[in-house]
Amino acid sequence: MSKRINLKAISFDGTNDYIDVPNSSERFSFSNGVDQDKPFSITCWVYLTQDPVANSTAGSFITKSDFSQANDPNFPGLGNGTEWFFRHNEGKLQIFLYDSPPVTSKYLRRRADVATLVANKWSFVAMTYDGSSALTGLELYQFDDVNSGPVAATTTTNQYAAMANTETNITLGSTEEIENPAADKSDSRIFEGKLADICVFDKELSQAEVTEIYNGGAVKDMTKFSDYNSLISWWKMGDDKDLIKEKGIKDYKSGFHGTPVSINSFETVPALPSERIFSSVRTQESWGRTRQPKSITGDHAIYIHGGTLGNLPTTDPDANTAGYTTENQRYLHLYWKAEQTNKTHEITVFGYNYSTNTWSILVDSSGSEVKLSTTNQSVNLYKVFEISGIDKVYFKSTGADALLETDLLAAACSTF
Amino acid sequence: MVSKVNKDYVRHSSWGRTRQPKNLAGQHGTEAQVSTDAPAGETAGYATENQRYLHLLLDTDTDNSANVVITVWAYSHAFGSWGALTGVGGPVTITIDDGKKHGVFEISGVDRVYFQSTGNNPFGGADKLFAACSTF
Repeated sequence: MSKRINLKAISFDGTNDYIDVPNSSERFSFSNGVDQDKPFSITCWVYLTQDPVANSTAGSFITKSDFSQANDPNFPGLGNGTEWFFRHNEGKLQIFLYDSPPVTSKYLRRRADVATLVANKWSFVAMTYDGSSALTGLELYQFDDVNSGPVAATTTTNQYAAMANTETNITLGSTEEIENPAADKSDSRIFEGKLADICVFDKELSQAEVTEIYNGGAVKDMTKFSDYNSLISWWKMGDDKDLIKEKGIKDYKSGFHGTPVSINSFETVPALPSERIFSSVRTQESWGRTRQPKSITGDHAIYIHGGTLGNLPTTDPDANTAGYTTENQRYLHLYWKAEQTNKTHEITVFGYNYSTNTWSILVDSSGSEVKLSTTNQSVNLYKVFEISGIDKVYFKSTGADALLETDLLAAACSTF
Repeated sequence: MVSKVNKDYVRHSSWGRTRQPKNLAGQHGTEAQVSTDAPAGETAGYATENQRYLHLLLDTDTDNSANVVITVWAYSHAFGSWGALTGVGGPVTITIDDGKKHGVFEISGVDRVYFQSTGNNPFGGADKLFAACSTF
């Protein structure tokens, strides 16, 4: 059994969700503040929940920018200023570098020519900068099942010499003025959607390196990246030791931990493939008695519905149905999450024994059918049934409404 | 493997089957943490060491008639997610108005548990929750 590098993401509501990371000019200001920039790069996984073109949405992935003063002439104090700003605008990737805050009209920016991000799809995006302050210094990349490399984009500049050095914090999912109730906040800088595994590098990544981190569409274990020393921050965005608390969004490279604001939970996203590592938690490989619940799919965090295995079937099992082997364990553990409140769902479990060669609806040791259901209510449950060593199980969606793609179902078995 | 403490009992330090309920939060007598938030992250809550039974002792000292309700959430590495736990015997919750209650629940070896205060009368003040696990 192994553990996914990525199973979680953080969902941003486009209104007031963001993650605040403390400032470090030494770490995150890629310039001497006067006339000489340094190279840097950013990568992250992005999932938009709305059509960005039809809905005219925009939002920041990660920024070191505070537009307070620039956008709000009546604001009594000064904003911290702007350095760099990586976002999408109506599905077009954009990277902005700013000179001499708070005069943000001095910039070097590269903007995609056409929209490449679409709704309901995980995309891997990257920006790279060679530190030259030149038009040729910036590049934007996008990788998914449609794009696979640099995106068509145009770089423009205005009075730009080098990025400023400011006291502005790093903000994930927004820009820093979101913290100031008096500031004039622009919706175009507040991200709506999901973000996973954000990385910052102190070098210009090559296209080959960006491709390596894309990793064929599976979130990469960055400890295995060929130039790991150039990685300066890696926020896993909900995985590993992350918690919803102050400094709970860990930076797994250099300790610049983020604090989630208005974010209450992590989202499980098994549909985003991920590299795996061997879990530190020992799991039985044999068919022996296992106290620790063991996934019936063969590995941890493989979901029967909502993940890479696809959707729950709506047909009865027959002689050709493989089902899932329980390894003759005693207990069946089920995890089910469905957020919608306007559907009627039911999941019925069928059982199979070699002694009978027949599939049938499964009844547990209490005499009750092994079934989960909900009517117009969201669920997020973990339920255990005693199945007394039946050979195989099968799951069928039997409700009036089919499960949604965003629903999750997973199963495991154990024995005492 | 067992380790001696300065008392007349021993406390298992391995993940073996333990008939004696073993405190989840630390040494005997350590209170468990209760939150009003739902759990997030694979290190939230407490490791059960895959024991079978969860013992909860809720000690409340309320000044009104509303119940304190503790809802138990479960996490297994097999799922990588937290869900409100319904064990073989039913939902794993413990409820009391004023006084002490000790409940034993069959949790069938879930990897971690987390305690959320879900009643109209929130857990707090002089309220105490103790949690332990055991196996036969």
